[in-house]
Amino acid sequence: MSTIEDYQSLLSDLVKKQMVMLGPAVALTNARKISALTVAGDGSVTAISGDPQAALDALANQYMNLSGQIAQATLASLLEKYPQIKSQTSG
Amino acid sequence: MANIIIVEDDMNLANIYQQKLTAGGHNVSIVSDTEAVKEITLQKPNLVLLDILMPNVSGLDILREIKAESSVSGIPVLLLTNVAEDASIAKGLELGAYGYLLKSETTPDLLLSRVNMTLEETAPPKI
Amino acid sequence: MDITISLAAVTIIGTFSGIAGYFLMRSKYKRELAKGRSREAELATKVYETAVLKEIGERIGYSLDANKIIEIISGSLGQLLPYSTVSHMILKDDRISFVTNVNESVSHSFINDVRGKMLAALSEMLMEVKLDVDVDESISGAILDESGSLPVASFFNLPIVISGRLAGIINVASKTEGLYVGDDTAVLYRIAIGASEAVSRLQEVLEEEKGKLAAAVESLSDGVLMVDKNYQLIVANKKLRQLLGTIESPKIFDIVNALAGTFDLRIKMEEVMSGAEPVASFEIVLHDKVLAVSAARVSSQRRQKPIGLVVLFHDITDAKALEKLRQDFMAMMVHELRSPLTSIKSTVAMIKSAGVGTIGAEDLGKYLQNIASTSETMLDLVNDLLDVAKVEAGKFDIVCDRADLGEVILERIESFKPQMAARGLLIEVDIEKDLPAAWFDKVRIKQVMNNLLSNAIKYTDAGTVKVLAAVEKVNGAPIDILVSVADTGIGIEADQAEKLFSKFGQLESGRGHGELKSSGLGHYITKKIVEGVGGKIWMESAGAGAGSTFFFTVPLAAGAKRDQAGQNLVVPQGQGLLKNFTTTKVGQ
Repeated sequence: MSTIEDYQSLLSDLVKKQMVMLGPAVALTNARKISALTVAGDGSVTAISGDPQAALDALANQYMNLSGQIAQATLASLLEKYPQIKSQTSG
Repeated sequence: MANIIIVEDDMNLANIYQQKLTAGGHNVSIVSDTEAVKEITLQKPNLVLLDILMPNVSGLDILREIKAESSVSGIPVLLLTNVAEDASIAKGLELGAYGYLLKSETTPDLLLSRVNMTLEETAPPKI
Repeated sequence: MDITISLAAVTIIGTFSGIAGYFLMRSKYKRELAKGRSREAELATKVYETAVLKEIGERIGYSLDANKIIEIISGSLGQLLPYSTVSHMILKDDRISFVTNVNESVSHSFINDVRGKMLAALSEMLMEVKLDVDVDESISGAILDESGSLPVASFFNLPIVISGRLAGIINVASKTEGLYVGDDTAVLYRIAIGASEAVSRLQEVLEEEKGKLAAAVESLSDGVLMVDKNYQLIVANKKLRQLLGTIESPKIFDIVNALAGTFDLRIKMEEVMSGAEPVASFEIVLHDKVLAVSAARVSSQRRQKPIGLVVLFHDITDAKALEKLRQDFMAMMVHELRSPLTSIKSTVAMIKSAGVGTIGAEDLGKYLQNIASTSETMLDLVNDLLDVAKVEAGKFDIVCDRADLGEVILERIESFKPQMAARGLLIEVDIEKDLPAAWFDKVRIKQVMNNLLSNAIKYTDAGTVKVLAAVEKVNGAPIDILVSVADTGIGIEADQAEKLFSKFGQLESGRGHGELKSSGLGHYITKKIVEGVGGKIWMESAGAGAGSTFFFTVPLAAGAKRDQAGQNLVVPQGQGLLKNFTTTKVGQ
């Protein structure tokens, strides 16, 4: 059973990586577009409201619109660290 | 009165030449291409009439061999050929042939006189 | 007073309506205006996007360079966003090229910061902890201001991925804070992705087409060598590697080496590339093969500038050998015809010199016989040559009809009996009783019998010539008639047997035993005739001195089963003619 903490951790990692890859402003702006997420200035996701899986998928989609395969690859490698979490958009 | 060897595969022609030369007072024998070198070395004629194009052995090879053999290298050789522009003629002269005759242009009479002329030119000096 | 109140009310209400209306109109107008403006902005963005993609499309052309996309995108940024520097990093095999264009003056440390951030992004994307490669740096644009100390306040990166591979990234950085948060950057990401995908697709198509072309070139039966305008090797196909004897993946150096001793490849290539003549053709000899070499300059269709060179190697060894064979054959035929003529001339000269009136009868008889037989020989040769020419020209007529094969054979044997008796040879004939009617060309088969019988006699000094003819049956059903002519003569060696029926056989096997000269064409023609009526011919001999036997088959006439195997031509029943029987290759 995956916990909210796991999701938060995963999402934070995702955002932080995107901040390095795409630039902080761009990464944060796009993360904040997901209304379910509360994202701090350093990229940490402090709160998820509603279905965390949906939020993850939404964020992944958002980033894929920007960096395509790179986002996919990043997500895939992150998911390895969190085997309990499955993503509909990976693979 | 000389000893002459004819090396020619066309028997008709060889016979005609033999007949003419014999009538001219010479001693003529006809040998085959395979026997040529042997017979020439054996008989040591005064002159050799040598056909270039023969079925088994090339006339030029025969020429080369007898010119390399000291006992017979001095014998004058007249090449017999059918083709005027043949590179073989040049080669033959290079190898040491005394001269050549075009069979198609040389009547038997002409042959006899040419043979006689050659014998005169190559006869050892009279003392 | 009432009217005044009503009037006032109407006026006030009217005014209020008017004012309300005015305000309503105004806010509607404002909304419209705002919408209009945002549509305008949208349009502007769309226009920008289209313009950039179009430019990329045009500039990329045939060379799908990740560099180009990156440069174009970087260069067009000025129209869209404020920035201090735009940079890109392009990943090459063993190094990274880092190019920065300075728009607003910054310090060197700013640039170093940009560099660091870009490398971090690359590391992250490639998922490698540390990128251990050299970075070639190049800076252009406004002059750096070392006194300035503003760091990178805002930045964003655009990754460029082509065919699944990260090709590089573009970085836009500014001294100003708080930039690049809005959707203005979104359009750039869309462009980057769009262009990358387009290029990736193009590249895939190109790779596929290249693959097809490469496969086609690889399998060509000629050796193909292609170099670009800098003489760098593009293609060296399998046949070329075979012909030259090089390794699997040669370098241009290996190829030049392999050709040493035949021609200088480098010099030839330079001549063709830059000389007046765009093509050079010549022949070389390499490893016992004769090759026709053709070097051609390749120019781009549009601008007629040289873009490379193709050198073709075509193996003509066989063609040359054949040519030589033909020439030798011609020379031999000329000689074969001249000799008898010379003989005749000399004979005539003998008669004349003896004197027509005074020549002895015996001598005259001998000379005339000479002339007669020599003329016969020549005539035979000329006829043979004519037949061969006809065969080659497809005008060798074979006219088949129903006839009695036995009768033809017997008749021919009769005509050769005197000759055989003269040589002391015995003849044995065994023709099957009630031999069924056969389908063949009488005249031509007579020619075949002439050839076989005369050869048998010629090459046999003593003994017997045996002729057999019988019906061949397969599983009880009659298929054809088999004829054999066997002699006890000098026989034929295995290596000569191969070339026996070929046109140039005489040349290759060096036949001719002193007076037993033959042109060798007789067998060739015999074979053509037998095959032309629909039969097969072959020879068996145990070797030198063991005699030889010639076999041939003749098809049966209508009403009997035919032999399908080994027929080159199907002879239609009921038709009398088989015209224009074409030969196959020369020198078989």
